[in-house]
Amino acid sequence: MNRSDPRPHLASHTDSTAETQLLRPVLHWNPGMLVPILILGSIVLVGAYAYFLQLRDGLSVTGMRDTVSWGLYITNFVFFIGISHVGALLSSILRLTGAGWRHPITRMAEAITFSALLFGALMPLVDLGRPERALNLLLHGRIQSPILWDIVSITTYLAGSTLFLYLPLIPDLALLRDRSQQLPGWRRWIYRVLSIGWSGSASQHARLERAMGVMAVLILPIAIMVHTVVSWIFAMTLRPGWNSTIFGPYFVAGALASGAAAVVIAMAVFRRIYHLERWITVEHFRKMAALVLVLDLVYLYFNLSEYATTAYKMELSEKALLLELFRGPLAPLFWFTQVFGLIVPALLLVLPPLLPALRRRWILCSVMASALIVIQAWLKRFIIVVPVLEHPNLPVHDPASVVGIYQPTWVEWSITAGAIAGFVLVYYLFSRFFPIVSVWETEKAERAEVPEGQALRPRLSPAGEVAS
Amino acid sequence: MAACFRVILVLGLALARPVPAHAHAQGFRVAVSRHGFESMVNYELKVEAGHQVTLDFSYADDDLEDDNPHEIRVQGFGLSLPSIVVSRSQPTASLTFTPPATGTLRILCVVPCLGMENLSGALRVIRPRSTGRAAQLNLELISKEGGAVLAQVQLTDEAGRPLADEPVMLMRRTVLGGDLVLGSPLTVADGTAAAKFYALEPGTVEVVAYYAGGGGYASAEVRQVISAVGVSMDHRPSGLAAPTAPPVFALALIIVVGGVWIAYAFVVMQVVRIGRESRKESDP
Repeated sequence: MNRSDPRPHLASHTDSTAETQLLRPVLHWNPGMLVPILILGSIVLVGAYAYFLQLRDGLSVTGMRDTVSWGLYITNFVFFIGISHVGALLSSILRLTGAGWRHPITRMAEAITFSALLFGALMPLVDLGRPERALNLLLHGRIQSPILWDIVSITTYLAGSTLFLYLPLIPDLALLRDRSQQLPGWRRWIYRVLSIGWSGSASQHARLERAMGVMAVLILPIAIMVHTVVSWIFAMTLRPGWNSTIFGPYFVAGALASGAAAVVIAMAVFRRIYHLERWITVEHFRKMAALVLVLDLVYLYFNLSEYATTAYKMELSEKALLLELFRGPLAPLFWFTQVFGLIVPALLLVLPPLLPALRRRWILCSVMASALIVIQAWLKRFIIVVPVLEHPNLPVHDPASVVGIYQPTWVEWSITAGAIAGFVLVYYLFSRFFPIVSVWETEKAERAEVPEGQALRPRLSPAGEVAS
Repeated sequence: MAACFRVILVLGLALARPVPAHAHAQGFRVAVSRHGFESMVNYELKVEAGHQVTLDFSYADDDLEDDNPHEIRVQGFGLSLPSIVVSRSQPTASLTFTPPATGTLRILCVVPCLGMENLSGALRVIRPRSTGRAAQLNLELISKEGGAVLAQVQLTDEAGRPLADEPVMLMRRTVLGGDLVLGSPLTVADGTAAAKFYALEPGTVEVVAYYAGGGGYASAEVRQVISAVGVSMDHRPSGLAAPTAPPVFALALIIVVGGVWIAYAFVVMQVVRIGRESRKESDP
């Protein structure tokens, strides 16, 4: 292919095409974008200050003590790792099955994976109190310890997710390289370096497809492996509440549900702020809603299986924990996660096609359901981590006499808020540096569907209604 | 910073049997410093169940330049007791409560501090002593097949007459110093009661029989030791507890993770080749 053509793979399009519209958030920065950056950045700074205090004064500034030694940080860790699954799930499965509707949302999902993993991997270090001691895992790690498996699998997953995000980005980076003459030099440099001289030749495409094919096959089992290993940090112990055989699939199901829900929220937000109505249509929300519904119901089933089997027997060591969850101080939290975090979202996702009044509210319903599922995901991780530690009930303990109390301090809440804000900030900045919808894949899909010479038209109404 | 995060491996006696609260106050003064609870012998105090206990804590880190506050908690039996803080500005504090049953209450400082890791201890709540006519307990331990041990006890009065329908607590001393309840059978007409248990590990096993007294009889306690042969079984969990990783497991892990990283290398190689092709194309 001729290098002199700056857009060889998109040569037939005009400025009104996907290229221009999808690149607008990247190429045209405005003062308005500073608002979310300042707000999120401020929260991150508060979190950073709290972490500074924790580094200076030690873990005594947290609510963690000897009995409850894992709190919000490990909750965040499991939550972020869970959210990160969505990139692997959506991109990998949809890519392998050749689902054409995936193009506008795969990069959103992959970027969520990357951002969530960054902050997920950070949380155990924050939890350490003495972060330099993480090196001990490398120097003196025991290969039979789930903690070491965790480090290995998360590192592997982070590397894989970065590759999985980067590969389909290369043609768009080349596009940005060629369209960024008016941008500052440092941004042009970034695009030039990252685009590795992509010219869009047939052999380059072949290599890229080959690499993406390998990653698509690879990333899904890695993602499942990672969250299984995360669950094994708990399940490989004898602690009642964690000593479960279904924790692996249970965690994976919860991760996939929360991750898919996070993508739905991202779709709605980007659709609104970047005016992507033409590419992210109601049909996408309907398809994602179906996916989220299935994952939500699967997770509900796992919850039922996990709690019903233990509650039916009420084995002595489990009893104190279960009673606290079912009707003790944590009951509101537990029942919120079950009812408002899983059952109500399922109804919100099921009802729109059944009720005429909700038929035009697909997006609203799916976003509300997704928000509830994401909130549920965080609370559920808290319920899994903390109450079990408050009721250790190990063989060496007298079950009635050892009860830990955990009340997170403002330091932990600040670091948690900082991590969540940081995750959103990285995600937002990504969308400002790189197209959040894959331009080359979208145009390729549109070209494949529209007869040559015919103008590209949206197949579905951008107003959010289903076209007949 | 040394931490007070030390899990105390004290086993609760967990004798669920509530005891009557008849008053005699038990008071202890405990000086708290970074070196530990200085008035506690082996970090353990013995108190009688059902009697009020007052612990007077005093701050003993005055030799330090900086304040080294201690937040002390007494935990156990589901008691909801407030935390006690002693520091330079608040050098004394006290805690009064009544342990409702026998067992072990944990007493520990929950603030990571400058001090040693042994700022934790136990309040061993022992059985209250009844008074009255003497009761006698005889305990016999009989080795059975398959590692089983039969603990048989006979309760009589001072004249040797059997006492029937009286509860006798049989407990096994654990390696960590606690008592594991084997059973609380009622004596039958000849004053005997028994409980069977398995001694899984070879070695000496100490069994305690305890009669709480009442009905005009004083409490009584007797101990007996038996040398157990143990049960031949591999019951220890492998995996995490293993000193070294099982080779098959390590190999599997290396193959899986190594395979993934090799695949990554292949992908990275494709990216590198894409870059090389571009450079070739751009060369005149």
